[in-house]
Amino acid sequence: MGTHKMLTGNYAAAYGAKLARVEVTPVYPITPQTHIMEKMAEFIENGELDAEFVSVESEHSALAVAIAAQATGARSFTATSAQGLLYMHENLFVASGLRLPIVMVLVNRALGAPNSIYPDLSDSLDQRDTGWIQVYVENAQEAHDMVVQAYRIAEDKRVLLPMAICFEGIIISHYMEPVEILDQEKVDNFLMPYLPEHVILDPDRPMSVGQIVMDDSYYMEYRYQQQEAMDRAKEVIQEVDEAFGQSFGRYYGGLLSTEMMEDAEVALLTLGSLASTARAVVNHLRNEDGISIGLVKLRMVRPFPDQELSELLSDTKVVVVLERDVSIGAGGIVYTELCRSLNGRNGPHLINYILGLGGRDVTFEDIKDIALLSCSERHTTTIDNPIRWYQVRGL
Amino acid sequence: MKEIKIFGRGGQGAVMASQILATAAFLQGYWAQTFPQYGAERRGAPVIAYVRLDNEPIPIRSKVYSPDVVIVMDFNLFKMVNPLADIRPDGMALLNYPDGSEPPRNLLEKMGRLLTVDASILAHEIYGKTAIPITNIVILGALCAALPDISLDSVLKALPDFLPGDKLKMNRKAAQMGFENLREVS
Repeated sequence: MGTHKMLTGNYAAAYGAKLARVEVTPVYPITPQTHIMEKMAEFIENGELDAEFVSVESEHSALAVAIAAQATGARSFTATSAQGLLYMHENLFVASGLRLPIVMVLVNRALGAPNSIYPDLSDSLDQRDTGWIQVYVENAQEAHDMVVQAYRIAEDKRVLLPMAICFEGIIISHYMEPVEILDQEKVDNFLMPYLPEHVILDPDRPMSVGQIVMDDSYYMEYRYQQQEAMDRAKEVIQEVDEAFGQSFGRYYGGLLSTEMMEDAEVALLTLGSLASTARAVVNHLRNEDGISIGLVKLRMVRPFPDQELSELLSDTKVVVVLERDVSIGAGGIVYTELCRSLNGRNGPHLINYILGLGGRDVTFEDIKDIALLSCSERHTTTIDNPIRWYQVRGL
Repeated sequence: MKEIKIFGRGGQGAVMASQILATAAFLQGYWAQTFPQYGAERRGAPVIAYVRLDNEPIPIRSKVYSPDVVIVMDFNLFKMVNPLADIRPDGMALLNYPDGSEPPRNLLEKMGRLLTVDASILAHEIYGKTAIPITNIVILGALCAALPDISLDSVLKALPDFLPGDKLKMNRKAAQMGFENLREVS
């Protein structure tokens, strides 16, 4: 057993990085992530963690330092939010293109303008095409556990891709709740040291990294191999979840998890902190009212579980995607991804609720109301206005 | 589940009070959840912190809309907001309120119990003169005398994580003084 302690989501994530024995942490402060950086600095300062803390002048440099450090074989860790993440954008491609298994915590924050420190998942979802694995977690414990899991997933020889652990600013980052801090010895058995062979900048073994490629050389093959690695990551994610459960007693389901989905006519599909409220709603409606409803908690957005969702939802009548993000001009980002997954199949009706943007409070009653309304739509032949903005004022 | 709402001003320690309270509850075996509601942080601006206590994990992460307990760390906040607007009819309020003034009995009709502690004066005695009275630990001590769920002992055990070193002794005293100086309005 580890130690139980009251921790914020931010501190829980920092403890995860400490247990993973990260060696280099270049971080630039930005609310609501800054506590992670402060805790890492504290661990290093008081001797609890033997690592190099690199103060940088921007997020762009933070990731550049992580890339350089990881290329020398050092396990790197960084964290950011919103505008800071966008400032890193070009380097996200460098990290994944060089196949460097850097792990980063993305504390979701709304992108200005207008400026807000509250969450909108659009900042990290915007980065879904950069070749990073992305997991979305629902509480501080899952954040803690997934930082440890992330290194094992990312560093697996079948994967070798960077990975982001995403959670909502304030609503997870600043909420304090009980967390089991994993036992260091057990983490050491679970997570082997990073010993790269594919990219290692070592003067004794010269290697050329990040060369230019011409139109007739191997750019396409680089990209194709990244796609193959992302495909293989699916099985690695499942394996690591299984191994983690055996070592520590918590199973998260890998790509996704479900609640009461057996024979469910209506499914709520969501991610992040909304999943825990939605789970409570599903349990309530099943147990109290006998309503045929279930929950799909989407964990991985990259790799996106196309096949898994398509199979899981084949007999469902209505799928309601609840999400705290939007691609302006298209709809909820997860909803549009799900449309792709189910494309061409005679599957369920899809309804999309965009809610909670900028930290707008989402209560148990809100999700219950949406669930009940969606249940009433399960016998209709067509869904009117499938993309709905929940409780927008002034309409 | 018990839901608590703490009103304070930036710099008074409302957020730390909520975290110490939640930690004390956690040490007693409760599942505890606490979180702040921030505006643009600055000294003196109103701050709200929330605490939820239960015997099992808490799945919801919304704000508290009908608190069982409301704590008001600065009575002047009533000039800007009504901290008691959504208190449960059987709820309890604990106010930082001067012992020498006529108790605000009119507030009692909206709730089950009304308690006061002269936290600003006690804070002045304990910490000396500060720009904003640091009332958080005094009020937590008083809360322990008012609320059967949380013991003073648990708050004292939770303190070192938040106020280590030189600050600990003074704050232990603050909690003790608050505990001993709770007044019930009837």
